[in-house]
Amino acid sequence: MADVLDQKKPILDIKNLYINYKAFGGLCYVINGLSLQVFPGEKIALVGESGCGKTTTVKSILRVLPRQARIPGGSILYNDQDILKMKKSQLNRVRKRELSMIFQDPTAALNPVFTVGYQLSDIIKYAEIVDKRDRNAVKRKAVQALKDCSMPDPERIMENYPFQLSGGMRQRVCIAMALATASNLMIADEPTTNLDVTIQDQVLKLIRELTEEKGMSLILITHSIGVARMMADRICVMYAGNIVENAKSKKILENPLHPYTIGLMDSIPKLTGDSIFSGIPGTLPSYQNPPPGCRFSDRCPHVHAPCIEKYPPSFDTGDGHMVACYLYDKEHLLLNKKGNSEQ
Amino acid sequence: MHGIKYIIKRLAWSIVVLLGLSVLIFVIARVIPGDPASMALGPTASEEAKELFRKENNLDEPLPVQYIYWLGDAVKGDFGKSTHTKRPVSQDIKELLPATVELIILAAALEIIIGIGLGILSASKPGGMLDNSVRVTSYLGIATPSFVWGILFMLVFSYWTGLLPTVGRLTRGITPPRTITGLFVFDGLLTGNFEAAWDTFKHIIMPGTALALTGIAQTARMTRSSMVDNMDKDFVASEIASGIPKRKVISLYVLRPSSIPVVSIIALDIAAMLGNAFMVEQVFSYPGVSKYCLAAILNKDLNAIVGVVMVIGIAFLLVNIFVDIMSAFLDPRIRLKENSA
Amino acid sequence: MNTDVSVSKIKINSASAWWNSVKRNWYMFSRNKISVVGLVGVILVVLIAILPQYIAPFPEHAAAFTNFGDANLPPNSEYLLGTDSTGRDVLSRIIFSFRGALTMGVGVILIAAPIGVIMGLFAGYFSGRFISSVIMRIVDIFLSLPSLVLALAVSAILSPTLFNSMMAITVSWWAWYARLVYGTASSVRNEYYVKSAELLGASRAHIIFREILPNCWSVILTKMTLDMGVVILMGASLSFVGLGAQPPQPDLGTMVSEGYKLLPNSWWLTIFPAAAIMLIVLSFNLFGDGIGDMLKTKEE
Repeated sequence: MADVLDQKKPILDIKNLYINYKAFGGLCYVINGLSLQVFPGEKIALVGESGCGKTTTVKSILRVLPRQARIPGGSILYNDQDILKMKKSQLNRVRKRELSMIFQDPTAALNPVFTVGYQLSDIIKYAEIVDKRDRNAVKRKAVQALKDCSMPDPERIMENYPFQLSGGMRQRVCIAMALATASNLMIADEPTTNLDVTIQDQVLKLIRELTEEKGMSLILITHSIGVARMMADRICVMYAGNIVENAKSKKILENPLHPYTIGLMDSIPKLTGDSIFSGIPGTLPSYQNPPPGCRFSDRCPHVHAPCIEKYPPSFDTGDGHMVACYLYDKEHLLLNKKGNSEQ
Repeated sequence: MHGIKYIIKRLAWSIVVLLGLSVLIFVIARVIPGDPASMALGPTASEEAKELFRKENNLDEPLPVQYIYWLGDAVKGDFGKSTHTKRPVSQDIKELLPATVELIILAAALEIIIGIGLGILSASKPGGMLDNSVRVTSYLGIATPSFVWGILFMLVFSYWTGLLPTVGRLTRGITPPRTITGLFVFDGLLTGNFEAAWDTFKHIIMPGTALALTGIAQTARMTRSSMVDNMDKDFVASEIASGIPKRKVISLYVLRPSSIPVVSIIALDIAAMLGNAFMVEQVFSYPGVSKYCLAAILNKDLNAIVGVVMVIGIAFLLVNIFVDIMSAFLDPRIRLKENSA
Repeated sequence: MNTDVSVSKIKINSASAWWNSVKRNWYMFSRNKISVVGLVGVILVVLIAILPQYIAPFPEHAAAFTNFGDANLPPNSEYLLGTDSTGRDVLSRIIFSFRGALTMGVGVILIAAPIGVIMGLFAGYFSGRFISSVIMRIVDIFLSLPSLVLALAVSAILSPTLFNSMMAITVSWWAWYARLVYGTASSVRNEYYVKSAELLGASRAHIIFREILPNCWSVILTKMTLDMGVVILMGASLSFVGLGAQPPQPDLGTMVSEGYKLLPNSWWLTIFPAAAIMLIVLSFNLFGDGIGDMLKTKEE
């Protein structure tokens, strides 16, 4: 994977985003001041365990959060315009032509009572890639989109309903729909989790080829570090509503800095040697009563006083490797107190 | 073709069920205590007259034989004579059915248009003011029997304000329109007899609305909850994320899958109206087949009871089949499950 | 591991676990304020039904009582809801009629539900076999008529009393339970845990009542609570046309019907009993909705 240009301006700049959910006992403070930048053509992987807020974050980019969600603070700048403040018409234009999203479960992401062709054609019509009154042009474009996704016999597929297709084919349809409406940034939310292992590889390769062809940026959500390494230039590790570490893929795998990332890497079963998995004791904190400081503090082997008081800012440890942990706060020189858990 | 075979199978089953129903009702009707002859002819009739009556009506034969006789006549459309109108039951039914049907058509139209409409409006802004007021009023709608609505309307619109007529189908003195469909409003409009059409409309608006109110409330609630359930699904987020405007997403992509359970409820409710209309017909003295059914029951008029019940049963079964067909039409998963990949 | 200690630990835990689950259920139920309103309403209705003589201002008016001097009075300070044509206090009669309405609802459900559930379980267990089709066809026959019509027809045979109208509704009502349970039972019947129980040699009774039935409980309970309102409504409709409790027994439907005949005079004789019907049914509906929501969220 080539080193990507990072001198230009980011195409997506999330600044200090806060998202709450209204729930049974009160508010869930899920996203906690999250910041993330994506540059043109860059592929980043958002990695984290279930429930850490990855899907919530990306859904807020396209503003398709569920009804119970509230965004009390922060901004999502797309090409210097705040998506959260956009008017509906402008937002729709961005959704139709520039940003798109592939959902985790392709079966749930396709309307069960409409044919694949109908949904795809409708999206193409709204994307205004071709003259929407010309039905044949729309149909041709739809068939072409399916062909680009390596679908066999696209004309017949157009007449089918989602339940008549296999999981892999459904996901390709979703990819086709996403490609038709994206020119700048594609978000893929665990696109292969619900697919057979044999298909996973194909679909991931497809996504990579298509995004590279068009020079699109990609945000790929996954809970597998292996997939992240294969697909992304840059990996962002997320925990309980924040990005705790953000670096180029190779760097983060060779030299994880945040205690959570270290724990994740240790949890990966290694083909050589011990069969004892380290795991990370404990679970995600309650979102309804989150700790005021670092949210990993109750599971962190290196926790100390400042961690509990205030959420740590992201420190730059060189070459764009960002860590949100007081251990790397050079001002207080805590590095010395760390101990030897690295390597 | 798969569809036709399915319909034929359903029809065949329905006939079996209808036969079963006829046995059930026949047995019920014949088990009524008391001597049918005295009830029919009155207590002062002579013994020979009663004997003649019994012979004519095969009342001396064992029950299964009576049933066969009845069945033989029934398939020809002859349900015997009504003991309280002294006319053939089939004639009574033929005359009174259109009035009830007209009432039901109005109620059904109200239920579909207002019920689904309110449901959609509620669902598009869940938790909003309209949504909450619809939910509260629908609770009231469901909790109130239709005869109470009927009486309320009568009080307010007839007695206290005099806007609408109280009882009946046509004001005395107005000639009914020439019979094309039997539905006065339609016939009146078609034949240019606007006076009769308007007059009939004034007569049916209250009972029709009273009949429909419970159904409107249920339909609105069902539509709302079905749509809200679907709106939380991923495919809606996917469609919105693809740039399709929210209004279209709701009115097309959410509505169609949501309408599947709603159609079932509406259709069954409409079918039940044939029988349940008796309450509003009673309150408004509306000359329909339901009121006739009630009178037959109160007078223990066996032939009429059986006849009307069979007609209602047939209508109910036809509607059930219709519901199945509509569900298959709306939900391709039902339609095509046999041929799925 | 000492099994005795762990067994006694389990026993203590299950008592407190039960209390915890009660608390949890209440928490889920009370989230929705409307359901709590329903619960309060139901409690009130039950209280009135059980102890009418302590609540009604004129308990003796509930039977045949005449006082023509006070007949047909509109609501006033003595007779809060007015009097009827024989001088009886409307409020007291309404209070006494709660018992009949509640008996109707409870009676129908307590008889129809077990019959229907058992039939449904059998049909579900033997689903695919001939006996199952026969049972369900019989169910179809009883459902081929709108329930109210069938109840009407059955009431016609029997003399009009409260008990008989209850029986009449039951005749058609059991079939709804049968159909509901059949749907759940037949789909559960082929699940792996049922099949493995069979392989282990469990008896039929065990499978039906210990494996299949527990899965049906939530739909059954939901329906039972929602049914109260519906059945009470049906009972009121039947008595409105004269097929329920007979005078002088106080009954809401009958009172509405008597008042209706006097319209437009003495409007209080129709409006107040009608409002009482509405309030009773509303309370049960709200309460039933709350139970249904609670059971649904529990499943999720």
